Amino acid sequence: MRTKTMRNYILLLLLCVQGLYAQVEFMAVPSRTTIGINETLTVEFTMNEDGDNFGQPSFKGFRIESGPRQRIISALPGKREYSKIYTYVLQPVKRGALTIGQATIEIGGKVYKTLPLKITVTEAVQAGTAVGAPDIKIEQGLHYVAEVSNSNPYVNEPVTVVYKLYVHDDVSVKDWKELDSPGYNNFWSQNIAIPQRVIEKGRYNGEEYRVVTLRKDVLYPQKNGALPLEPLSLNTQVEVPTGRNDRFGNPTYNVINKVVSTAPKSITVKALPEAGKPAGFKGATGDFTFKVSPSKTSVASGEAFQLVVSVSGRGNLKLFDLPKPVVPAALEIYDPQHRESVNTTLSGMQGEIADAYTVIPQFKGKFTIKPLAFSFFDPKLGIYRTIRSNEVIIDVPTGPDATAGAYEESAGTKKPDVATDSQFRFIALSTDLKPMGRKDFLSSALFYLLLLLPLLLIPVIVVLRKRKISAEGDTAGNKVKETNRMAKQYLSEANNQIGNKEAFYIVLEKALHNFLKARLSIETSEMSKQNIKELLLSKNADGETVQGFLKVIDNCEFARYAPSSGAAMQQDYDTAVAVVTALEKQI
Amino acid sequence: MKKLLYLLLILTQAAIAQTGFERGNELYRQGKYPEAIAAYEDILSNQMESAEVYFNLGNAHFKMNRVAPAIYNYEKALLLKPGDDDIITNLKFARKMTVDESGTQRESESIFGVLNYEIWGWLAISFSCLLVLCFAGYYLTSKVILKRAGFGGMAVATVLMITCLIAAFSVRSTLNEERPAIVFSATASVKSEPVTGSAEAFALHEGTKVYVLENLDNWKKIELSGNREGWIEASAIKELK
Repeated sequence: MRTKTMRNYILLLLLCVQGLYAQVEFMAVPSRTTIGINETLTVEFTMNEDGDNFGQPSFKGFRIESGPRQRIISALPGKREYSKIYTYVLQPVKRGALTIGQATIEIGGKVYKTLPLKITVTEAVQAGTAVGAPDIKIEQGLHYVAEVSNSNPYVNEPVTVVYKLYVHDDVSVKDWKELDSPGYNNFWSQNIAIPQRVIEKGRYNGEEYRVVTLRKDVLYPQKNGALPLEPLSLNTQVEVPTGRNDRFGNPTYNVINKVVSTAPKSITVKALPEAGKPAGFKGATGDFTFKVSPSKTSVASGEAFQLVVSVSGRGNLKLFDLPKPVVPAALEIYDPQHRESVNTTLSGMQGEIADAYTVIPQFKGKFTIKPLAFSFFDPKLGIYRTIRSNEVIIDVPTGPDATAGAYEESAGTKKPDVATDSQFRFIALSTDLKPMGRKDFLSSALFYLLLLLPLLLIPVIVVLRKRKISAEGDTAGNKVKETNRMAKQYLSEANNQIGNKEAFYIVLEKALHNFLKARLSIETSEMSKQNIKELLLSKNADGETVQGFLKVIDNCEFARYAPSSGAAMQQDYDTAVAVVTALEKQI
Repeated sequence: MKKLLYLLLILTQAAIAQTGFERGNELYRQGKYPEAIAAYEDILSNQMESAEVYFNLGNAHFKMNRVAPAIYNYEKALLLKPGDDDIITNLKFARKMTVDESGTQRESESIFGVLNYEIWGWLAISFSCLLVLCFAGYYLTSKVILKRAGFGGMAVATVLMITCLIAAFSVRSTLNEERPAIVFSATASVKSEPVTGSAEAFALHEGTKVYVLENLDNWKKIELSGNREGWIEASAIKELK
């Protein structure tokens, strides 16, 4: 008996050596060597060459829960690795040191055997420890991943985030629920509905997994810098084998809740380049076409037409303002109606946005709506582009005339519009060209000449008149002057002759005659008293003065023949002076 | 001899300009507006001008829907020929094409503004003549009534002549101080400070008439009707004088 055992050991040794030599391995691997009575034991019989006629070992003291289950791990390309595994799940039925017998296999005509296994079965251990092992498996077999299409976009360049749940073959997920919605700070986001969830095959860390896409979002970063994506958590219900079989021999499962989260990620957003940024840039990013189109170009005044400013293409269509058209004051323009027809797909927004303005011409005429410029950033090329719309010319053939109003009002007068039928005037056909920079008339020499010449005429007139008077000296004027002078001379002579009676009166009478000659332009022969009186009175002389004058003449005639005193002479002289002076004034 | 040559030069230049004007008119009638503009501009480049040249130039620009040059030339024409009906009518047409509401014309501060200064000048001259006539009446007649009337007339004429002179010079000086300009760029922003980054007070558009108050570097302080003021880039406007 002993020698037989020895021989057996030697045989086994030989077999092992041979096995090593042939590189054939056949061995039994238990999951543990010490188990509780309430626990299960998994034993795997592994061979690295394909074998036949597997001889099941004796499992004395164990009940086979399941098995043999056969599985083959296929060779990886380039590696000669092959293993065929028979797995048994055993439930101990009694305590103590138990032995699992040898299993046999025939490989290449030779029979290989495993070593017997010694298993110690103890008392029952606390429930739940059995769960420990699968939990680790779940941890490794369940991954929630956020896939970002572009982690270094420009501001307003679309980024897609796809949330995927990777499930390993070993793990079975019964249900899931999002714990919260993602909060995308500093992003404009739109969720894309997933109509039907499809389980696909995918790889995670080089291993094959089942993949479910749970959520798709399109994001437009609104500012530059490193923007974090918050981790998103998912509550899953995972089925875990309890390790026990039901009465039909099928394994039973526990459902446990497991929370999986995405790893924190961040997107580094590039700012739009400052170089070459157009003045009218309002944040549009993408690839667009731009158009300004009127619904009509010929319209009656008071009739409305639409002016549509539209941008179409792909890009952040909902995130910028359209340029506003600039129209002449004669066109009344109302606030626009905004229209959007934008689809959001995984690649971003695409479609058209438009502002429709209602415009009503107020006057007849031809009005130009200036071209509008629309600038956007093309992230693919990394440059700014500007599209200019065409100039729109609106012809208003009928209606009130444009012209009359403004200028008249501008002059400050609210005149009624008289020139309603005024037409655009034709060019002037003749002209009188003058060199530029001509001086004003106001400061020209001619102006001063014309202004001062009349004033210079004043002294000229005075001088001329004086000349004329002196030229006329020989005639009447001169004579009058002479007699006047003579009258005064005679009177002064008479003054000298006072006391000398005869001489005095002769001189006095002569003086008076001379005075009359000068004043009345009469000759001595015409000097009768009556004549003198009439003439003097006709010249507006005072009657009393005339009487006095005549009395002096009478005295002169009378005194020559009558004695007269010196006092009377003096009196006559004084009277004569007074009368002459009075007459001088009156005539 | 030198003077004679100079005179001859001016005369020939005038003759060339005259034919240029007629050539421009012919091109305008054929609808060749750009060529007509070139012909008229040619006259101006020869340092010759007239209200009609500016008027026709404005018309040609108007036909090409160029608002700012049209208004600019009409305004130029009005400076040479104030109150001309044709110019004012077409200017109104051009103003209707502007975007900004054509603001009210600046009202002159003094009552003298109702007449052109040249007219005030002629009035002063006529009162000067009247003064002399009154003096003659006073000095040459012997009739007392005529003398009195002449004296009174002299006093009135003197006062009126001096008033007209004051009016003429004050109107001209205010007019010379005034610097009207036309906005040429399609849209020009008027800022509260002459700094590129400063806030926009309001925007002006092509063809609007403004008055320049001050210059600073490449900025001009402008005034609009309604006492609106601001700074605009000098390149955005073109002054009329």
